[in-house]
Amino acid sequence: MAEFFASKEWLDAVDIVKAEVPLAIWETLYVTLISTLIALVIGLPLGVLLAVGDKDGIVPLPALLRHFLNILINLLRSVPFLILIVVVAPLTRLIIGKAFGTAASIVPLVIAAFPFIARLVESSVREVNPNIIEMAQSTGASPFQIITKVLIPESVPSLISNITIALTTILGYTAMSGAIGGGGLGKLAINYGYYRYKYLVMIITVILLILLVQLFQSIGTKLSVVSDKRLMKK
Amino acid sequence: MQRSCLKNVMFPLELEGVKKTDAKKRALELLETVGLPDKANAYPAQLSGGQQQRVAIARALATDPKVLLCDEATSALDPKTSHAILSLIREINEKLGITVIIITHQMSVIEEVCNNVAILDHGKVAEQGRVVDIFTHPKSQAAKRLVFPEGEQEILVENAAYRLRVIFVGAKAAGTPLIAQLAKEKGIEANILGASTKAVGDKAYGNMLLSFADEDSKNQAIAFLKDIEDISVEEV
Repeated sequence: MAEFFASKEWLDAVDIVKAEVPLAIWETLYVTLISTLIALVIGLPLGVLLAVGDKDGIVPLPALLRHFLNILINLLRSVPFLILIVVVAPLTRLIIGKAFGTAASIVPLVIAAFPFIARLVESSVREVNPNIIEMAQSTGASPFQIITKVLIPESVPSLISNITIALTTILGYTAMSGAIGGGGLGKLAINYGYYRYKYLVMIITVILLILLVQLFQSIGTKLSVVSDKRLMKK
Repeated sequence: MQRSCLKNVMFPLELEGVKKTDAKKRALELLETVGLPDKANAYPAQLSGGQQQRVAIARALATDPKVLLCDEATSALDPKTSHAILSLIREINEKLGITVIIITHQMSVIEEVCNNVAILDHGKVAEQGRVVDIFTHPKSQAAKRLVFPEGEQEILVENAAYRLRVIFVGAKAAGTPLIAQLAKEKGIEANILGASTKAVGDKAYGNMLLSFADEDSKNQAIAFLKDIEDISVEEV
């Protein structure tokens, strides 16, 4: 064991980790959080719209629009992320100015994440007890009031746990965006571990990614439980 | 439900755009009315079924309605809680002057709180009138099925003898030993097929199904019973 920790390979890996990891963690965190946030801004209203836009929902959407939205979301959801990065490169160039690098990785991340988040939000909103919606309708709430005062507040615990799922999935995607030079732990794992055969660096980065996912998941679960008034003790 | 009781009662006021302080004051008053002043900050999950129903009533009253519609308001409650909720509904009706429409399949609920009743059968009104009248003399088949759920019809077919339904209207008659008098004074033996007494509104009501050996003793019994106050006789 002592032999291993004295080996050139190990010392090399430690040097690389020390030099690169702090920045990589920061990049991973900021890309993940910013992408999730932007995707949420698009996905939340879209998800709510899908849930309330049913034929017999509170804001029935025209069938054509409803089908269009569903197909668009399914389409975006079915493109593998690595392919999506390439496909949206022109758009990325338009928005960011270049199609590679850390900031550029945010564009494909958002495009991959918002349909996913929309679906998660849709399922959260659909879970709201129909009796509560009926109550709001009978008290004369308008569809907009039902959305803002009933559907969203009532689905907060479920939204938090679903957003946590989205966050960990997007964290996984950021690792893939290392392929187009998006910074972060993923780039580290690919550049050192895969391209330069430094497996130790790869293993350490993967362990760090696992820890990050664990952290996000624990915080998310905790928040979801704490915010759920249905679970209050008598 | 992610809203506290107070926020629940404030909800209709919030929709109307009532100022928050006013809405809160009104909501607290209403919680007081329904007997839950200490549960303002509790969440529905922390309350019992009866308490949840009280909050729902307070919420329904928030906008000063003229009519309160209670759709199966007590169906999910145990008899004791159901009774407490019904007293509350009665109180609201009397003190606040709000008409209450109760939809129920529990006859006991109607007997306990209602003044008028309409019996629905397959979506149509089969019979309507004062509770006292309909519960003592149901006319339609639908009403009979509800008021005498023990299946009067079946007994009739099985034992097609000479029968009378004796109906007590008021507590006085219910206290008289009728059948004993009938036997002692007239020498008529009556067979009691079924009997029940109920409190309808604030009076006691009852009915008894009697059968006799022959036409003659039945007619004598009718003559005897007709003269007694608070009693009516019906041949069935």
